[in-house]
Amino acid sequence: MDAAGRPAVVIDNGTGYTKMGFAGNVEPCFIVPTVVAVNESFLGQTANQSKGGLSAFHSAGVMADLDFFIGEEALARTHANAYTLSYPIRHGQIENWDTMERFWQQCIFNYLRCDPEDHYFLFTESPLTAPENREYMGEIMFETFNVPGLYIATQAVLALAAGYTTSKLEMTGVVVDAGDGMTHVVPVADGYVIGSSIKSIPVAGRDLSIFVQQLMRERGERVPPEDSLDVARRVKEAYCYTCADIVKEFGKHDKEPSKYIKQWTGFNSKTGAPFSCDVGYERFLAPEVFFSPEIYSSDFTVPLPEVVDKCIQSAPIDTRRALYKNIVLSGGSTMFKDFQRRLQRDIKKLVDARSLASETRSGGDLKSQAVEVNVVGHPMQRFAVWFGGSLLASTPDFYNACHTKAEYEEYGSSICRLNPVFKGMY
Amino acid sequence: MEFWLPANGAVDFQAQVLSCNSSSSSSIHLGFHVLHCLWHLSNMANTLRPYLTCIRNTLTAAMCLQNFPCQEVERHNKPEVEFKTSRELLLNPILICRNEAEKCLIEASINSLRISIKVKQADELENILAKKFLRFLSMRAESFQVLRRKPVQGYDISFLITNYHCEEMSKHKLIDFVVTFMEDIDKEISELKLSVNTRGRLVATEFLRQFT
Amino acid sequence: MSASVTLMVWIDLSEQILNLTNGSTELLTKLFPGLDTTPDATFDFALKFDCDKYANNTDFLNSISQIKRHILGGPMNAAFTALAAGSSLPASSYSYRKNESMFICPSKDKVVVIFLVDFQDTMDKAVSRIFLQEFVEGQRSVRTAPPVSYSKEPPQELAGMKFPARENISGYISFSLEKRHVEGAKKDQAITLLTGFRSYLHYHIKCSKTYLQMRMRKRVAGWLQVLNRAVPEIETEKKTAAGKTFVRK
Repeated sequence: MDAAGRPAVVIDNGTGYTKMGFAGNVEPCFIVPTVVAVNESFLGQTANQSKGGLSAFHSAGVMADLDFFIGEEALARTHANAYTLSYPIRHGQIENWDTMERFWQQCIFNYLRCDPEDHYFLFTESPLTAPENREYMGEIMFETFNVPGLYIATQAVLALAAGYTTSKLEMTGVVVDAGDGMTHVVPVADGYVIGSSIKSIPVAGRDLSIFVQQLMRERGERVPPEDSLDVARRVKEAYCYTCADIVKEFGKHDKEPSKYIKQWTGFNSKTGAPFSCDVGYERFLAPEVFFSPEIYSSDFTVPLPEVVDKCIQSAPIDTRRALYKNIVLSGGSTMFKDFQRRLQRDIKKLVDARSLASETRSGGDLKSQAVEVNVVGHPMQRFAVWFGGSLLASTPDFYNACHTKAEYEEYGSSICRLNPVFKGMY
Repeated sequence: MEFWLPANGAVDFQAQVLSCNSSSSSSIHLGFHVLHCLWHLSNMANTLRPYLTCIRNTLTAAMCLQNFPCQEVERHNKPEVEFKTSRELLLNPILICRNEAEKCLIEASINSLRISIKVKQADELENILAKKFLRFLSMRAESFQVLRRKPVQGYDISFLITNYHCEEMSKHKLIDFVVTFMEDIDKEISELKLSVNTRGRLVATEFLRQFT
Repeated sequence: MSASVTLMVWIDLSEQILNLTNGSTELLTKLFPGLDTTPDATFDFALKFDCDKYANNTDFLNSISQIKRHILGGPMNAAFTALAAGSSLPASSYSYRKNESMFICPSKDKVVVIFLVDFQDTMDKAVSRIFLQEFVEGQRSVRTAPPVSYSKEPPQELAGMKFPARENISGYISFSLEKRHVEGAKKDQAITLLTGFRSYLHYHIKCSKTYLQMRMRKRVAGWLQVLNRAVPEIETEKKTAAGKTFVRK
């Protein structure tokens, strides 16, 4: 059986979590934090040290580059002296190729436990990835791992494709991809990304966690300082929801604190001592950051619905109605309860206000057909990108679309430079 | 109309090379087009110093480049060493050899200079490592402004320095770079090879130790 | 109510390995008694078991996860058992991957397990040759391990055997296991190690390449620094984060 007969490996490296598994599956086999705990002693090893013969080489740790952990295992070593945590991806872009390569090595050999020479690979990238990064990825995959074929897909397109099970295959839409490091709003028309209209927001999951941490600290909750960000993240994942109106929500909380205030109990990661804290307004304030960013940061103050609206308005006019009709959510930070309803309501408000304004300007002579606004959430939302990849990689066409090792050897890594989804006419 | 005199660069150029050679204990063979500098010394490590010194001096002499628009096509300005449109603009290429496997070809012209290097490859593994390393490097040619994307035929890696580079960068630092590169590449490849060997030993011993 | 799950495995083994009375089937029925092993059309092998019954049975689950080891290790198990008992079986060969084979050549006082190892990629091939050579060297310092030999030509044990001769492969590595290597609990350990041999080698080849890449990145970054030193620093106006300059007006 050759590589094309086996299921492809699908790996979606996000800033926060990496989703990996085999094509054709409904869920990824593993979802692990994208973090590597490296043994620093190795980094100090220089060329001079290795000159002292074989024995010196041994003590300098010739295999020390294998002394590292990824994912939860890495996080468990947060307090270990010999290890330092490294986050290879920042804001959706791979920044540290050394740790990233080792991260992939573990993913392939220790998590998925497959032979990279026997499977095609599908990787994902953020819509703003530089061509050089794609080349570096291709270089690592073909040179080090000798993969038979590689496809680097745009996350937004995969997220759209993930909706395939719930509706017919609609490749036109706006993807609101809110992950851990970055939020992107990406319009896609007939499977082609409208590159010039991509908007990014520097507010994403990690900022929400930091915001929750801030709020809890200001209120004086007894959370061990070294665990506070981790607790904040867990609280965010477990209790946060989107409210319809922030003022009313404050009122509700004040009226019935017993109903709305939750308890969080945990253990100090260093001493193991139990602690508990209250979870209050941050339950709805954290997701509110997307809708009123001024409560969190003074640098970026445009609410998400407005960004989506602007994004669609900057897209070619003949695609706009279709784009409003299919706004797809993807990524862990869109998982808050009622997020989809709130986003839909707010965008609808903006759109209606605009058409009303143009009607009054025309003196009531021109009536426009109402614009249909539809924000779509689906059960696979959390790993929509991965799921889309899994779907795409299980079609027979996938194997033809891949860059193959033979091509790489012929032309070099420049074959990965161009991503065909940007080849559209816009 | 201005005349360009080919002599002004070439004269002191050759003088430089000769002086560098006469100071080191080596035999000189002057060919029609090619200047061979071969060191017949038994100790390899000792030959590296004069080899690099010779390259450094040759480069210092050769790197007198000036802006020179193309003579054939109006409003074109190309590295003459690449296009070789007119013979009078080219200087005699210089081949500096340390031994059969390691040599350096320096081709100079009025507005550009091409340095091609052949790296030592003693066995199969060194050969593959060298190839891999240089391919890795060529992939990053964009950031190494003076790196030629493809080596000249028969060589492993080439640099192309034009008069623009000389204007933007300090000439001596540029030469430093080429020499450091040549110094490091051999060392790096033998270190990479050593690391493969030591790893192999460790991997094997670890495996065998488990047959308790 | 109980659910049953069929675990389908496809492993690159030629049919012979499953049909031969070489020990695989024996080993499997011993490990998973009463299991249905009839495969579907597209698969080589199947195991059917009751999920609820085994959900918390760690031993069973571990065993299941090592299924490849059991299948590949079957013939070795048989040969080693025979050796421990003082008898010997006829020699046999198995292709465990496309173009790569394992040979088991039992004789009176030892069992020689030979791997025909090959890697497609030239870099992998070169590194694997170095590594395989190091196995021979390494054995000299680890006396307890079975003797190892490595050659690019088929070793003499394979003289009478028929297998497709191939040019330019990584090589043949043979482990000569004597009685002392397969006594008691050592037998299972030896089988686990030998069945995992190729994966182990492969993993470390890839790791070495990652290491080489890291070294190269570091070195290239160093050169880039040297080159950038040649560019004279241009005085740029320094600004604070808020965009203010230091110039006094």
